[in-house]
Formats: sequence, C-alpha cells, structure tokens
Amino acid sequence: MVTRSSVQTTVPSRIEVSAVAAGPVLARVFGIVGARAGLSLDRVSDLLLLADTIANADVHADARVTVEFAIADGQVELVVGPLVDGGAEQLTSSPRVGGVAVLPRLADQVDVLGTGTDARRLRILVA
Amino acid sequence: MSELHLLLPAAPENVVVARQAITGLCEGIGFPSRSTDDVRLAVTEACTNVVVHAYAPETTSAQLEVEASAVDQELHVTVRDQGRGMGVFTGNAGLGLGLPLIAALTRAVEMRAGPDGVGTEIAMTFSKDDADVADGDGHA
Repeated sequence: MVTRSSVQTTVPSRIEVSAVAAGPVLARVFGIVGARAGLSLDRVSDLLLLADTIANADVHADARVTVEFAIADGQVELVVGPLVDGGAEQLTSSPRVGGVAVLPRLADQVDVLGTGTDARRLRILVA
Repeated sequence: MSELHLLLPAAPENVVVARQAITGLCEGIGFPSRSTDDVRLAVTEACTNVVVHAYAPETTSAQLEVEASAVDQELHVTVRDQGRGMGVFTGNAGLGLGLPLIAALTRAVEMRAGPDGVGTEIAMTFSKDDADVADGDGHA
C-alpha cells in the first residue's frame, strides 16, 4: 500500500486524456500534485514543462495520454504509458535543446519499465 | 471514447484535482469560459458529494471517477463512485444545496445507480450554446 495524499488507499491516481486536450489537463494536474508534494516553485515549473513534453510527444498508444501519479516522501512519481513500441526511448531522448534531451534534465530519475517490446511505460520521479 | 477519464482516491484533496482536470479539458477543447465556470462548479459539487456521502469512513478503496466527452456543442461529464448507493443515510445531510445547484448549472442532469448497480453516478450535460445565449444577453 502506498501513501497517496492524506489517505491510505489501494486506489491509484490515474488520468487518461485524449491527445488534443492533454497539454492543459496535464499541466493543471501536475501543478496541483507538485504543490501538494511541497516541491519548490522551480520544481513545479519543471513539472509543467514535463507536462508539455509528455503531452506533445507522439508516443502514446491509441492517441491517448495515460499517466498514473502519486506523492511519496516529498516527491512526485509519474508513470506514463502505455506507449507505442519504442515510445519510452523516444520520450526519454527527445525533444532536445542544444543537443541535450529535455526530459532527463527535468526529472530526478527516469526509468523505463519493462524491456524490449514490453518497454511501454516510463517512470519519472521529481523531487 | 471519452476525452478524459480520471480515477482518484475519494479524498477531499482530490476534488481540486478533478476540478483542475476538467478545467484543462474545457481549455483543450475550446469550451467557452462562461460555460467552463459552470462545468467547474458542478463537477466540484458532484465530486464533493462522492467524498462526503458515498463511502463509509473506514473504506480504504474509496474511488472517485470522472469521465468526460465532447459531442458537437455539448460536453458530457459523469462523476461516479462505487459506494453505498442512493438512499443510504450517511448521517451527514449537509445543506441539501448541491444537487439543486448542479441542476441549475447543467442543461441536463441524471442521477442513477452505477454500472452493474454498484454505487452512484451523476451524468451532467453542458452546452456551449448556453454561454452564447447568456453572453448575448449581456450577462457578465
């Protein structure tokens, strides 16, 4: 069982949104989640950039963006997916600014869940 | 297929998450701001009802579900729980203003048992046209 918000619960927090509306929905939700986790203003801003990065990436299965999120020990955990084949690597390595991939610079930790063709989800930690 | 499907623990702090998500959806699909205000308020009331009334206090798997889809000029939003169902007195009656408020803010509203008869869902319909008419009348 994971402590999610103020309650002990077995219910996950999950959002699934069509690609067309993903940007504003994720930005608003990530902002609230980051603030509740007690992140600094800079890190909440990074979460908003992450929301844009995730929403704008053409890697989501069925053109629907799915994110599970939780707050634990003052950090925000996001699990993005299902993604298309190769989507996890694509989301991790692009977009790039000045030759540097954006997503790993915004997050404290990025893990691809699964291996090979099963690597269809991305776990992102922001503290 | 819905534009938005949100699943959250039915906790007070998650009402604002649902409100922000539905607001973002309205922005994303270009719903008029005046209508968005109605959507925000009605969804907030419906989610609050779930948190306050739907589950027994000791429930650890209390969930709040919000589903929304846009069809033509309308936005359909369903707020759903898997709780005790309608007609169970929770000992917390409140002011009794929530449902009348939702009815006033929506073009159509229906409260019914959830899928397979489990819990309760409230289905709300909002229209872009309502905002156009209101704005045309000069109401701010």
